[in-house]
Amino acid sequence: PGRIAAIEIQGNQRIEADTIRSYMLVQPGEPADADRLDRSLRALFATGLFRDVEIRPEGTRVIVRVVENPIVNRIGFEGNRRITSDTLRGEVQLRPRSVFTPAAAQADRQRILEIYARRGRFGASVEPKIIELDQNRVDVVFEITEGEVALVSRISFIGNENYSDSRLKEIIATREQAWYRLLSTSDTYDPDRLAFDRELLRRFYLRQGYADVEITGATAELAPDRSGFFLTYTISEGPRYRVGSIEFPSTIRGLDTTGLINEIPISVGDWYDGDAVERSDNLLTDLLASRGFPFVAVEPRVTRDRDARRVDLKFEINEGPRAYVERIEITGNTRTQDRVIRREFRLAEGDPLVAQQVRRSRDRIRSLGYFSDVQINTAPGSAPDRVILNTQVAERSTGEFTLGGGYSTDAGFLVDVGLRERNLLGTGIDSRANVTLAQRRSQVDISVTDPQFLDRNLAAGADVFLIQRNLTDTSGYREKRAGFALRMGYEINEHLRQSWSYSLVDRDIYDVAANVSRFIAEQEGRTLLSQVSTTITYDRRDSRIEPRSGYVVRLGGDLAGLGGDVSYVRGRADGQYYIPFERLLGDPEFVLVLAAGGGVLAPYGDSQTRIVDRFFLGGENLRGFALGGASPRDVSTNDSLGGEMLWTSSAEFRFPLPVPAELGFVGRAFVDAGGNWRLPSSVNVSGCPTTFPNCLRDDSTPRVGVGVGLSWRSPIGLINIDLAQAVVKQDYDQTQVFRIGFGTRF
Amino acid sequence: CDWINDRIGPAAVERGNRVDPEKLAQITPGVQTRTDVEALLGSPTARGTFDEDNWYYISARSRIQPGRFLEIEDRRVVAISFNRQGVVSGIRELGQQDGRNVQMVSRETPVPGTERSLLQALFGSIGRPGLDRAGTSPTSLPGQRAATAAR
Amino acid sequence: CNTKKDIDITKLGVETDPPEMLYNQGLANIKAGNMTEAGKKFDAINQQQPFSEWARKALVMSTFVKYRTGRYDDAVQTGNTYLKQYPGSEDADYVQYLVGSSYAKQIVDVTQDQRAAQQTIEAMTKLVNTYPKSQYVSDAQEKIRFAKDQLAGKEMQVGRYYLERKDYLAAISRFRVVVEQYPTTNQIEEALARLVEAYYAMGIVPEAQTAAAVLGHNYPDSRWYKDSYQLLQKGGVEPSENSGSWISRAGKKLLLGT
Repeated sequence: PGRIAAIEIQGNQRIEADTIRSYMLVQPGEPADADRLDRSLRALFATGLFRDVEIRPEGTRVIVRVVENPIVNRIGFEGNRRITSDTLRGEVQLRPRSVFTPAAAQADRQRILEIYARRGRFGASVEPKIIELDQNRVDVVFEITEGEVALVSRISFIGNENYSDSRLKEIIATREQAWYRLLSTSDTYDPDRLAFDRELLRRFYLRQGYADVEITGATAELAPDRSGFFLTYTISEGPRYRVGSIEFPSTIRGLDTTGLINEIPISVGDWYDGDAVERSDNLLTDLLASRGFPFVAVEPRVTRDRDARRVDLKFEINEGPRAYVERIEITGNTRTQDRVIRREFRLAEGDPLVAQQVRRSRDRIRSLGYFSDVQINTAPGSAPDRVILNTQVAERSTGEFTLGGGYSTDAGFLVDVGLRERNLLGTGIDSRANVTLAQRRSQVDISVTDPQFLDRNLAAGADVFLIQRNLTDTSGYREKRAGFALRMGYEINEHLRQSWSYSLVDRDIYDVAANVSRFIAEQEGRTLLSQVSTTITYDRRDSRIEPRSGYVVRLGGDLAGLGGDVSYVRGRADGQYYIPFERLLGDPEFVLVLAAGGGVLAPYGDSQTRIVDRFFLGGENLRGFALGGASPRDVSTNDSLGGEMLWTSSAEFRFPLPVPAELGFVGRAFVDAGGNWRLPSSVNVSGCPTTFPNCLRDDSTPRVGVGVGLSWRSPIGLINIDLAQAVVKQDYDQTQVFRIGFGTRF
Repeated sequence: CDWINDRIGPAAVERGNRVDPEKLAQITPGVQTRTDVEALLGSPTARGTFDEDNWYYISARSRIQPGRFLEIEDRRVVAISFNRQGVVSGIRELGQQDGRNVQMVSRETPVPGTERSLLQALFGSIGRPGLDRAGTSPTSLPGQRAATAAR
Repeated sequence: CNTKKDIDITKLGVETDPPEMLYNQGLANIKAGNMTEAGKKFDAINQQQPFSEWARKALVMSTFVKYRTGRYDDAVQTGNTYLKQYPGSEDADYVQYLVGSSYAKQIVDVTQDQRAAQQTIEAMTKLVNTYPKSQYVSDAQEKIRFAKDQLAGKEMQVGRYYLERKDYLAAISRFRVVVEQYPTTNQIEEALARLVEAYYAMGIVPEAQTAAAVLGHNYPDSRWYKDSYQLLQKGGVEPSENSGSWISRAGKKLLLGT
């Protein structure tokens, strides 16, 4: 064929001829060979701009006839009440200025139906309406009839011999329709949640030892009156197994497997527990990694003996894939400096890739609190055994201006103003200033802390504070403390931390009431405390913010007397032990918290301990008693004197209330016990008024308070209400039944 | 014993690519090629900066130390050199004792975008330093053609 | 009930002004410095007559207005839609330049995410390759150099972080990236000097010597070379190439740069 003189475009209304020519693969002056023309035809179709295209050579000219697809001018929605037009517009593919094709309209109709199905409205119907405009433009309007929400009216189980229907209903996520569930969507019928329920049931049975469990069916039929759905789960439980033997066959040279048996939460004779096997797998991998075997693959093998109802566990330990971290890329940090994130990594470039270290690094970055989201995922490196860790963070504002109000039994009504920047200038330094004004306590403190001073394993900080407390009711005096503290802390290992602090505090006892106990009147005036203290913390809790398992133990020592006019040695200890009940009761909110603490204050040299340094028992550390209500006391003036010895303990069971979880109610039942005794020798009966010769009470017998409480994470803040009754007490103790505390931050 | 070590002493963490002595023994100069070494020991931690004939397998152990950087102990380097044909020509091993104490020069080469004013640091993205200092930024309109009124 | 009025289908009339008038009004607004108003005019043309010659010109101006008003992400988006529709048009090089400049404006200091620097390099390289004769090529190359300095600065930042903590193997790989990918940036001297420090600290003396020799060979009067020289000399070692002719090969590579 001859050369092309020109390319003529016909039938185009809106699209410029040059634009069409620019898509053609053949230009004037070139031979019009069929293959290139055909490819041009396909190219023009691929643009999606045209309903039809024809290309035919005519002599030396090439005629291109096109029929253009209309352009969408506007998208509209009619009849949508439950879902806003903007959300729908976000989901729909057709956009103003995009090309309209009937197929696209149908696809969007399907998308809208899916959105409604996900919200439980299976009866919805959608009709796309097309309005022709001039210049080959169209408007598209989707007419929607939403229909009713399908609720779950009844849930039943078949084949569950060992567990009752009500018990299993607690395990699955779907709930039966009930009046108090009008806020929550857990009672709407959602097919995806049906599958999720099957998994929850399976895991529950596996945890209880039914290794052969099968959820054979989960069906939903529409009720005859179409008002709701009947859900039926069919379960074949199979026998319940006990653990027979546990072995650790290993093919790795130099790996000693003897001690491993007591490192995992399963022992011979227990009921078999699927979850525990999985947990042990991770535990062993982590432990072996920390003992110098980074590349181990632990494969649990479960062999079942049906008639003996016995399960034999083999944790096969062999050489895992060797992979090394080539690079750690950190992206998304628009304010935080790179090193502030990089120093949280438990591994560096070039190190073996140990999944546990990656997980721990991600958790450490998350607990910084600077990011709304932290993701670490791996990408292949420059060699098969090298991997790039891509860390994606999303910054969030770490500056907080808090204006709070509230009331607490100890401090009365309070107003709290706080300014805090947790990530000052992206350097990771946490700085805050707080002013709290309350009826019986006002406090100003400014504190700055660098969690990793000079990137080293060294947290350093300083505080300046002024605290005024009005203790007239409990001990008949006001107290003012002003001073500063320098702090320093470091990690000894992943769970053990030690911190030191030096504080210089000027304390003033003033406004001593006229009829106050003589032992307090003597203490009026100012004293200077110069104290060095250290605390060792061993923290094995699963999370610091909302712990549900594990324990934490703190041991502290204070030495006062390097200068200043007070000299004593004080020992402190406290610990919390969190016992999860999720395995038994199915809901992670069930937690038993056992706590205990103690303190010893011993003066040295010739000085005596002063009231401002002594321990007080009652109020927060012994519910059922008023502040200092269970401490040694001058009964002639009914003033609490505090004691040099203190022990406290508490057992609190936390449980979810039968209300939708999103409302944030947690119930608590607790028993507190404690003791507080021993007054300095200078405080003795000789000081009692003549009218009341034997006025001192100093009794080390334990006091006990029992009660219930409610915590509500309400929209305006956390509210704590406690009702506690002092069951074991001395007649002179001050009790207090009702305690409330709520703080709002907005 | 391990129980105490796990609980109290800081755990030593494996760093880099620790070469297994038994596998290293299987490599003799003049026999293996690059691919054999890579198959046996994995990819090298570092290659020669300017010539590919030197491979280095570097490994160490580090422990958390109160108040200081991680304490690096037992650093080992296995240097494997290859001849022109890519066959192993020499193996050298260096230990912790071969390391030298180097005082890092504190000077840093400035990067144009580094000076970040206090205000920008505080509020992140306001008034990015961006590019104003380097080269012209396109404040001018596109060539006169487009700016003229319609033909 | 849904109070927000949806599209009133009957009222959809055609825009009143013809495209020429809208375009000139836009230009006038730009000259008067009223950018947002100008932007509205150009967007209206696109709305009314997509794919027309006016729409093309308006798209160029809309990208420019968005760039000038600091809405860099929008400028990139509008620019890219233009380039997809009119790859061959005469303003395409200018729009590509606007896109590259929008990324360049978002470059931050080295302690933070350098994605903007990476995007600047990609956009400007595309300009240099696809429109070699464009008047913006020289400035594009200038911006590429600046962005590469940024990326090299970031590698050095991380390298120094690891070097300070004696994570020598991590530090070495970072400084190598500068030597291999950014030899023409101002960071190259320090990268070589740091390699000398890292290798020497681990006792791998030949590598330290090589790095020092290449540094000396290319930047004999650099202060970094003086530091490396003193470091090696203190240990009784001379910075010299230790194996044959590689130094000329390596040295030559550095001088020519990529």
